[in-house]
Amino acid sequence: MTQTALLWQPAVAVLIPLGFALFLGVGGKAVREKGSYLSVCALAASFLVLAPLADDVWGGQVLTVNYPFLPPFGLSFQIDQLSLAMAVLFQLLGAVAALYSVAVRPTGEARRFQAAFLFVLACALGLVLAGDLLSLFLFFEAMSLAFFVLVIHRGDKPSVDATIKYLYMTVGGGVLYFAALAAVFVSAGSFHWQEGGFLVPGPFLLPAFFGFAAAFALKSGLFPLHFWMADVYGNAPVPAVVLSSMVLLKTGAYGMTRIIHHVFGAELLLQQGWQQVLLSMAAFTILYGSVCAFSQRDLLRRLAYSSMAQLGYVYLGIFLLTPAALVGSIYHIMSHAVLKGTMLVCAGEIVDQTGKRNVDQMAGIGWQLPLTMAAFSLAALTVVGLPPLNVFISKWYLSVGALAAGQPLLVVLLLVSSILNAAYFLPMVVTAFFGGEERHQKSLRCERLSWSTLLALVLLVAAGVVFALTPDNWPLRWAEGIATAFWPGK
Amino acid sequence: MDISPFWAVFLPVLGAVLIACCKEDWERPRQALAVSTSVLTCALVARAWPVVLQGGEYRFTIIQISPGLSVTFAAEPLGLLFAMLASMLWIFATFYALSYMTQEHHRRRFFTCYTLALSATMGVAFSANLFTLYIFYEYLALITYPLVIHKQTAEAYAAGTKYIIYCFGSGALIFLGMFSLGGFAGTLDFTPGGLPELATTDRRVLALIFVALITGFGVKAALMPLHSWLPAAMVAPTPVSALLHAVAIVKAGVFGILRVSYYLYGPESLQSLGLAGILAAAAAGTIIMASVLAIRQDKLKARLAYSTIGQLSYIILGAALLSPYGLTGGLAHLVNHALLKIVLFFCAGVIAHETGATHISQLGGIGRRLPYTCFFFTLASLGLIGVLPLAGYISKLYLLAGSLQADKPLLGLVLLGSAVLSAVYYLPIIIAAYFQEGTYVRTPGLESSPGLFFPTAVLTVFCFVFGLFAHQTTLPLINRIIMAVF
Repeated sequence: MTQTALLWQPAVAVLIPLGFALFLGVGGKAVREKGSYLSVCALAASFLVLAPLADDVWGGQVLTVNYPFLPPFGLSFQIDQLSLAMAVLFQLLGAVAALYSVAVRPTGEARRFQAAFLFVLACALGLVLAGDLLSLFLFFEAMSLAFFVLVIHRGDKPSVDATIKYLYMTVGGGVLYFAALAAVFVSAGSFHWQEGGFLVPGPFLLPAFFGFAAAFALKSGLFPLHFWMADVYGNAPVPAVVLSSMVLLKTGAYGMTRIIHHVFGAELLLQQGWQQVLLSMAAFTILYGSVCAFSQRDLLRRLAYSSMAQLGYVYLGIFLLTPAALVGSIYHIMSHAVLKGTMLVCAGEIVDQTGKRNVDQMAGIGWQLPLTMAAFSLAALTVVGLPPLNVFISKWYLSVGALAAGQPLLVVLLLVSSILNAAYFLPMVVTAFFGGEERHQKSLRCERLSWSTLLALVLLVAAGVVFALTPDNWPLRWAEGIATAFWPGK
Repeated sequence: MDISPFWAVFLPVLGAVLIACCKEDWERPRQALAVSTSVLTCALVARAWPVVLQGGEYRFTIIQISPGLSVTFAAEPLGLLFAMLASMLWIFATFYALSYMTQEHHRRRFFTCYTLALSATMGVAFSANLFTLYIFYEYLALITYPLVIHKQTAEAYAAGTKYIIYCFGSGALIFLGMFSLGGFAGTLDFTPGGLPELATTDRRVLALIFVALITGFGVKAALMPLHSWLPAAMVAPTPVSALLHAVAIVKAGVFGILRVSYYLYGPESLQSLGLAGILAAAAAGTIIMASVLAIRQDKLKARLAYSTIGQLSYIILGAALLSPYGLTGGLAHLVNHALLKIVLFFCAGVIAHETGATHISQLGGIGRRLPYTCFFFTLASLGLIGVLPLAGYISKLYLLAGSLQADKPLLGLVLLGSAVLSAVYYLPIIIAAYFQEGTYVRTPGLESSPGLFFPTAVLTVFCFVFGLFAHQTTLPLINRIIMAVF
């Protein structure tokens, strides 16, 4: 069912953080010191705007609105189950990330950082709430371009180099997407998506798919378009990396889901024979990411490749084109955001408080930073796929989906990659607590967690672990609801 | 018969005469005259907008020399689009120039010529036939010469000489083409869709005349290899560069090409003569070469000049595609590029005026001294790269769609490649300005004088308005043009 009453909520939900971001950008000294708390308030307000719509949307309604500016077809918003789930995820996790970003030293440039941080979040919200390909692009570009301000924050040479790589990636992706937009414009005369897709086979179909898919794949680091990730993760301030991991990578996965189901349609994809290529890319991403993570000695770069591999799982689920696989993907989007966020916050604290970035130097660090390493360990164990926790659930659904799609080899891939994941995370956990010469000494403890970082960690760990253990796993029910909406009748 | 729009051609002459009568140090009267002339001219043009949008037209013949030869004005969609663009931007440019030139010499001469150039541009826009266009085109070239050589340095004189040679050379070609065409067709009136008389003329002659006319207009439109007067002319003061070399003169050249292609020849003739392909190739080559050359420039105004050369060929490419979407994109870019480029030049002028920095290598950390100006620069360059929702993306979308519609995807690739190259030559400036260490410090109060700051700020807002609200501003009139010529 579609309803077109004047739906003000999506526009306001985006405008509130956007407005706050501009205010943060031009505000004075007081703003500089309290900026992150303002971000949290903005995101909370945005959440309150969208929350009342939950009942209608989960009941199956699709809410849309179109504003008559932004040629050629206007700015449209659309809220369906997937949009709402992603928007709420970004709002809540964004608030937690903003809490953590209080840790960014309040130098003169902190204001610029906080403003750009909130702006990126606002654009990410707009992206998932957008109702057609052009509106999505508006927010996609704005988000990607604003993010470079966060990457270049430190201003040293490696940061600038990483930013240049990132900008090439962004501009390249934008240009490809734009070309795809033109192809869709000429062949279909509309940008608005519908269930089951609206494009038909024709000369512009492949360029259109290539353009959109490449743009989203670049955003998420799907092989072979991952080259920018390690540098950005290694050089950007950790709050920016947290934001990227939690939000930006997920927007790529969101976009890919949208175009596959609502622009092209699953049947069209199967007909055109693209599924195999896409599945291979996802599989390769998983393997490559895992192997590279294993060989990285810098903690943040290792986490970057780990993110790449985890997004590979998400894409695997999307490309399998079965309902169970999609459940696994969406659940993994949510869990990975939380878990990787946890690990990155912990990594940030390790770097901040001990100055160590190399995993070889982290023997015994669990006694210096017990709470931090406890959180990290819990997240690491979950990410590896320990039953009955989150990632185990996602991989279970992915396996079921793979078997349903007639791809049993992928189940083997899932198992092998889980072993690889364990190979680079578990040793870290073990040496952190059991590796140093001096152990069990209270005097080693030098943890100084600010209350905001502690709160952020607690929330993230709770979110990462609690749901899998409760009888009513409502994020999982959400994911199932979304998959049912995308595959009606299955 | 209502001929009020055409007073827009003569009013600036009156204003210029009055300015010439003011003594050099009569600042206030000169300012008042310049501003009121440009505002009134714009108002006169704006009055015609609703009428022409509904399908009406104005026409007025000044002199009828012989049956096919007259000096006639017409206010119809394409002419009105150009006139409105130029007169509106002239207001802002006048405020800017008045503030910028306060310390310069020969202000009386400058503003007299500046205002007369407005009259010439209006004449070009409102020409109803090629002969009238030619007269005002040459008049425009002549009257801008004193503006180019304003600084009266050796470099300025050299640039001025180059400019005049190129202008008169191109004028001769246009005259030749015009004369021949008039002889064969019997008339030079601009007819939407092309002159029907051309169907019976010898194909080779038609092709030669087309080449002559396009080459002639192509000089002002900075089609390569006829472009080298433009970077040289950047020696002129920034208000001149901003307005004349980003908006009026170069757009007059493109305007001439549009008139020749769609109002004398028409899409069918061009299609059957096979000439559009050559024009498209020349435009595509210009786009790529100009973008590559822009990257190598360290002088800010030179980089903007090469960017202009490339962007103008977007419009020519749009015309050469012979498809409705392509022409829509080209016409939209006529407006969007003028708006965006004038903002960029205004920012360059502010930078030079406030800090004396003219080279990009000197711009490190200048975001500390001129944060808002650099922000306007950022937004305008993002618009030129094609970022939503600024003006610029819609013309690129239509151009790309046009290249697909005309079955020429390679030209689409040229457009995409040039977008990437634009990012390569604009983004480093922004990164250097905001994120590099420099010796610039924040000054209290407004970062530049109000007459420089506010026109730039308002026009930057317009970049958003013309992007977001293109359906309400430029596209309706453009659609009228498309309907008329196809």
